[in-house]
Amino acid sequence: MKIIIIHTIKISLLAAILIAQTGCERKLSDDAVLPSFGTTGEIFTDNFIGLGSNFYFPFADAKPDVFSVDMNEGYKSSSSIRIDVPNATDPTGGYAGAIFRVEGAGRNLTGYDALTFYVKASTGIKLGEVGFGIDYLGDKTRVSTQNVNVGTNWTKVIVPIPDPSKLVNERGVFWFAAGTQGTAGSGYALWFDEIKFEKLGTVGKPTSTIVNGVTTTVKTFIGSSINLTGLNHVYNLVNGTDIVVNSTAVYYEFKSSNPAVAAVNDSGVVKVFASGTAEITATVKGVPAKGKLIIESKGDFPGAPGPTRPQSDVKSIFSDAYTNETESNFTPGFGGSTTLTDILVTSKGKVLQYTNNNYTGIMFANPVDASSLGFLHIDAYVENAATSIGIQIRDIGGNKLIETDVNTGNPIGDDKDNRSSLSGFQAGVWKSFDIPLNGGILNQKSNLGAIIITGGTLFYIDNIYFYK
Amino acid sequence: MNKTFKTILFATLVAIMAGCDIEPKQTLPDRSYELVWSDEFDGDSGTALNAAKWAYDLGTGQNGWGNNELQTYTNKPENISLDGKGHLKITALKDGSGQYTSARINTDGIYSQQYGRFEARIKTPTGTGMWPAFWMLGSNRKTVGWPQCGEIDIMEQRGKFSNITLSTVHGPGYAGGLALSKSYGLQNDRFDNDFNLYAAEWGENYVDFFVNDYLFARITPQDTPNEWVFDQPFYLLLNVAVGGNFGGPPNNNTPFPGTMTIDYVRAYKDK
Repeated sequence: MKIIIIHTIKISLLAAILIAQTGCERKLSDDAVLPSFGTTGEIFTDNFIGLGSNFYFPFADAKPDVFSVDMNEGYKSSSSIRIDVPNATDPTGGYAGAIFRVEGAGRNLTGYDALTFYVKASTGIKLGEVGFGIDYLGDKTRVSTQNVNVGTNWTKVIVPIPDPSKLVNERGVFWFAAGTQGTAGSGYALWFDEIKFEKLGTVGKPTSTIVNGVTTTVKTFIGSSINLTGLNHVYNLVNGTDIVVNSTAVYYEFKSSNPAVAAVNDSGVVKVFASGTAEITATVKGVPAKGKLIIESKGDFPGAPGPTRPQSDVKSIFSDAYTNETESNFTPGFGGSTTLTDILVTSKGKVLQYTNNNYTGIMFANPVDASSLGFLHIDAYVENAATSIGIQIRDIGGNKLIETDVNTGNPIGDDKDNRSSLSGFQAGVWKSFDIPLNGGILNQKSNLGAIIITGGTLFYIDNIYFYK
Repeated sequence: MNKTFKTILFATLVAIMAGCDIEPKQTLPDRSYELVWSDEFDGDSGTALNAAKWAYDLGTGQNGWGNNELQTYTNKPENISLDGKGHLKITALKDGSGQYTSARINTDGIYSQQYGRFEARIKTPTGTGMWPAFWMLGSNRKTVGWPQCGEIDIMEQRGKFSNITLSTVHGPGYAGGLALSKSYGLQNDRFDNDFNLYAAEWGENYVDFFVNDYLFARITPQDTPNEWVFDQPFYLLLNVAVGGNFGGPPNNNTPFPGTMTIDYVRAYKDK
């Protein structure tokens, strides 16, 4: 994900902090020792606590200039963080989202059991997602809760830490993503105050899950890798509310019942090595998590049908048979995407494996001019014959930018697309599809920039190329 | 076995009742008891309760044991058994079709006593709809009926609010929603985190309630709007209910199995 640093925001924030500090009647004495923030829990109380000067990083596709320190609002104070969530149609970004990252050395937060903060909004909303642990340095400790009820009065939100012993050097101390799905696209103001890590003692022990707490069987092949998802922790808080926290794999200890067939690493990625069956289970702080993933490895993967068209008729995106027309990004990391994409190296060549797909894409590094071409070819393989995979061929227009309405997924600006689906499968048999370049892109296909892939959950594709 | 307990100065009690700052250490005059009945729950893992000490309440009772409770009580090992580490486990389960089972035991007709100290060291389950309890009923319940027989709830908790425990007395005209109930809350902890000692000290004209030997409530005949029915033998009960009028039904986030772990139950009489 691209990091955008907004220098103007930073400067105005510093100015605000300076104002706040002159308003307070305390001064550092000459011999004051600068405090070590090694274990400090506070992030923002009446101003930012020890984050350094370069700490605010909006998400790449979010509206960047939404952040200020409000000197007129605050929880039992007169200062808070103000986020102006944009309208969905804002051309500079249809939502607000950013991380707060400690500049320099991280903090040891092992002595705390929750991230807490006060929040309110100019209208009642559900705050899309909020948490900590995104640092753009691997996001290993990412934790969040979703759809938080926020009203027009200050409310305290508690985000428990699944295992504080993992937070020994934490830089990503706060992040949020707020959109307008609940306000019919209308922007609003959001305030945060008293953001801190606390030792509450009342968060209790969670019920943790992998694969959302159910038993899931995946039929797969040697060489495949499967990302464990549905990593959640349900807390029954003493205020009478339950909170579901989603986390990365770092808070879990994973185990394979048969490591010769399938092994699982610390990142929750299962790799399949041989035919046979293996059960993947996990614990959190020694307590068994609910849910298990059963790997049924069927051995070697059957290869896709070999392409026969001459290279001169083809502009290829992914195929062992052709030279690529352009490099592509197969893991664009769209916000909200649950997809794991892996390039499976089988004895018969490379194949793209999609697991848990809701939406992802293949983003071409350079636009493909298909004005003289008529079709997109894709070979697809599924284990479930009822699978249907959505394919959107996107022309990104003369400005060569992908422009999408984040609420509908539809192309906007000068973008056009063609949508179709891959279906009518037989389980365990490759099927070839030839999609005509018509519909929205019939007369605009000289800047094809991406193939968006939706649904289908688990499937394999190969030999993706445009041809005459 | 002799054990000396202390009770509180009346002045301190008044201060607590008024909701002022709680004294970190209470000043309690001597009150002497001797142990007369106990179950330490020693035994092999998975084995059943000592039938010489306990009887099971089974089934669904009438109207969910009078409270619209959702569980069916069983005596199956998955619902109630020793853990082999000196504990009794009462476990509320939810099956694949959304039905709940749990367990409830009593000493009715086996052991009952008038006055004394009654205590149990318990780790309670949590979650909306979970309703663990350690309590007593008047031994004349089958002849005079409830609430005339009286009920002393030493510990009951709503799993939705796991930092609060309640102690309650029920009697004629002050039963169910009108019962005399006192609560005790933890500021930086919760009752399902660990074992806690719940106790009642009951004598002529008083019932005192303790958590971890901290006296947090006293109920006397002056508090009851009607007849004081606590001058006769009572028997003990332990159970985990699911749902019901007290705390409402469970939700999708309620953790199952929900286990109440009991280290011991001990009863003392005045020395």
